[in-house]
Amino acid sequence: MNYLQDELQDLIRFDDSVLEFIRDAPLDGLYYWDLVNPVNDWIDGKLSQSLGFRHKKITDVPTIWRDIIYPEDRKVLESTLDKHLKDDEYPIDMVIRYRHQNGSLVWFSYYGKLIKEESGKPVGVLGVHIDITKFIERENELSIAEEQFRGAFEHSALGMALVSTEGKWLKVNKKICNIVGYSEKELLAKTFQDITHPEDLDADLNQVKQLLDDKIAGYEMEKRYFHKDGHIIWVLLNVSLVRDVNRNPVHFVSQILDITERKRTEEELRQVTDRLALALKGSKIGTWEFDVVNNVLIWDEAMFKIYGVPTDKFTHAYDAWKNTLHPDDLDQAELEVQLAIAGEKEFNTEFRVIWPDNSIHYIKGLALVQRDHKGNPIRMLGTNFDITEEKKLEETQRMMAANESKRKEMEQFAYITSHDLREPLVTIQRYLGGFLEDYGQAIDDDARHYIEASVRASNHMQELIVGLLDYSRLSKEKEIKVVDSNEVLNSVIEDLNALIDSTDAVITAENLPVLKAYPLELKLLFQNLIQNGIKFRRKETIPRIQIQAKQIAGGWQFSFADNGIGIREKDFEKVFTLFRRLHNKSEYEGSGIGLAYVKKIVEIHHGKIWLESSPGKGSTFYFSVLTESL
Amino acid sequence: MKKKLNSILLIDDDEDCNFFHKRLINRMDIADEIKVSLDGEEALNYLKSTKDGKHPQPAIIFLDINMPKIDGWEFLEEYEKLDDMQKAKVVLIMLTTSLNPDDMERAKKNPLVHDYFNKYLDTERIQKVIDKYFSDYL
Repeated sequence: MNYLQDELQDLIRFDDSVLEFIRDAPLDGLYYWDLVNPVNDWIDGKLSQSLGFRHKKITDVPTIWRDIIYPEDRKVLESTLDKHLKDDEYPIDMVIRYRHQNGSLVWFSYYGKLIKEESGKPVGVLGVHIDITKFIERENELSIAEEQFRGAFEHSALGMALVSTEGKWLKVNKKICNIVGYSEKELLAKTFQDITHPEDLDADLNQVKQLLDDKIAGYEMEKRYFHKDGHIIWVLLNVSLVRDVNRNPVHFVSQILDITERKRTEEELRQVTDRLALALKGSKIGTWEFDVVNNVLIWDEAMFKIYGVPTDKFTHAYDAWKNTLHPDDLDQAELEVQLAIAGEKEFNTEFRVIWPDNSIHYIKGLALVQRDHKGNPIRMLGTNFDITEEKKLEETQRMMAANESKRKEMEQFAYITSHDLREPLVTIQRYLGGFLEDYGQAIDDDARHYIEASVRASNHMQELIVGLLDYSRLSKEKEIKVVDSNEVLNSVIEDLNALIDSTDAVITAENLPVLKAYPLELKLLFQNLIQNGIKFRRKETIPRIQIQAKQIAGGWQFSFADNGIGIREKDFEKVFTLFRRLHNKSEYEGSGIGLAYVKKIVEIHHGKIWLESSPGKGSTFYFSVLTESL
Repeated sequence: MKKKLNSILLIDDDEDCNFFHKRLINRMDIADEIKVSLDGEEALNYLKSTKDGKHPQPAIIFLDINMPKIDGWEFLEEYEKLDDMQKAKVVLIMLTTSLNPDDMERAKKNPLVHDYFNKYLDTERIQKVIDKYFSDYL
């Protein structure tokens, strides 16, 4: 047993004050320090354990006050002892740190008692230890947390403030100062009510009241502040209340996010949406929204018009839409919706709907599918518009195209037919001619008459075929050229020389222009009209044909006036019909093609043809050539 | 006194047409010989043949376009490859009832084709050919 322990036992036994001291101290460790011979300290098992030694009792450890004590604290301890020696009243009461065997610091609250000999010479220090390491660590943690909070508060991207229960700014960070434009000092002199937009104040105060009444844990709202320079700032405000242990309100913690830009964007978006709605109103485009999850279909006003459905007769379910569909289009339209929802295909389709009045309407539908972050469909947003008119137009165009191709086929048919017909006909003509040449003298008049009639018939047929051929060939590609119509007329007169000579016909012309036209066709046009003018002359009358031209909007107008037999008004239209003849063959020969041909030539020049006539006096044919559109 | 043409070759599958043209040329009495070929191949063989060491070398060929086997255009392709001594001496004229402007353009562009007529030939047309290309003759 250590002599000091013996001594201490004696002390406790004989000195009441020592025993009292020990009894009163809630000890985590005890040591007795020999001031006379400092190598031999004594520490009890508890302290030994607190310092990380394996054995409860140690006798051979280095002196704790020299080797394990934290150097700074040793100095403090020594100076404290000095002071105590000089002044009994000076307490030996301090915090001492020791180095634990694992290297960490162990904190103790330390109280010491100086032991003196009877002579008053100090011989040892009795020290008691209370381990305060856990307390210190917790304190450290708290101060770190506080430091962190301070940093977060000060440097937050959010505006942050502590606000008194009356609304006074208690503490504000830089960001909130930036947002509202006040300096920290200026802001701390104000209340939140001072800078809140009056229209938002009641709502805010109402929330504050509920929070103070402990009805809500916190609140969030969008509100407006006035910036120092007067403009409005939109913020998202988040408020919570700090209460003390008795749940009495201490102050508010407010977080503020500047959403002015977002609000502006929203406002712009709203305006765009309004304008879009307005535009849609005019354009008859309906918009719809389908909540895929809850099977709710929302239509705007235009949709009801497009579907001819009264607003109150619509259940807003997917099936309500389905029921409007034309049965033939139902499957496809539904499939399109499913494919769009499955993400396999964009929704861009056409279908027919049947209105309550049973009329059928064509609809074009476009839509987007909105999905959550997992890709699950949430909503479909789409438009519908009525394309019935377009469909009708398309149908008409398709029919016109079909007609056009049929017409071309007919022309091709006429061309080939007439060509093939012509070949055997020419043979008949030539052989009949050859027969008359070779045997004309050997047959009697009757026989000759048969042959001559056959020749005439085949000549007429030849005329018909050539006419048909020309007519059918008109629509083939031709070349527009600049043509002098005087030259055209001269060339026609030259070709018709024989006819003109034999009838003494007089042809005069005035103001004939140089114009854009299909040269060959224009010549045939002139030729037919002149031929007709001469052919349908009155008996015993010299045929006179007067040709004039004048400029009109978009081109030229020609007139061919004759002094012939004339045409009755009821026949004005008939003359232009293919193979329509007004006279029998013995009176006036003709194929019935000429004027139909003429009309077609005028039409390829984008013009019109018409006539004025009085029977017995003569006819005037007018036609236009719209050179500007050629 | 002007002399007759040595021979005229008619190439046409239409026998009625050949009969008529042969009759016409005979009546005009302008050629010593009128040879008829019913298709292009027969005509080519005839042009390549020799008699007394000489090719027939007709003065005029009247060629139809629409023919079975080798048609007028195909005949012209083969004809072009012949020796000059085998080709017609002076003229090659095409005969057709075709009123197709395409055919007319094609004929005009072919340097082997001297002139273009529609069927049937008549005295005036033949006389024009003689006057134009054979002024030394009849």
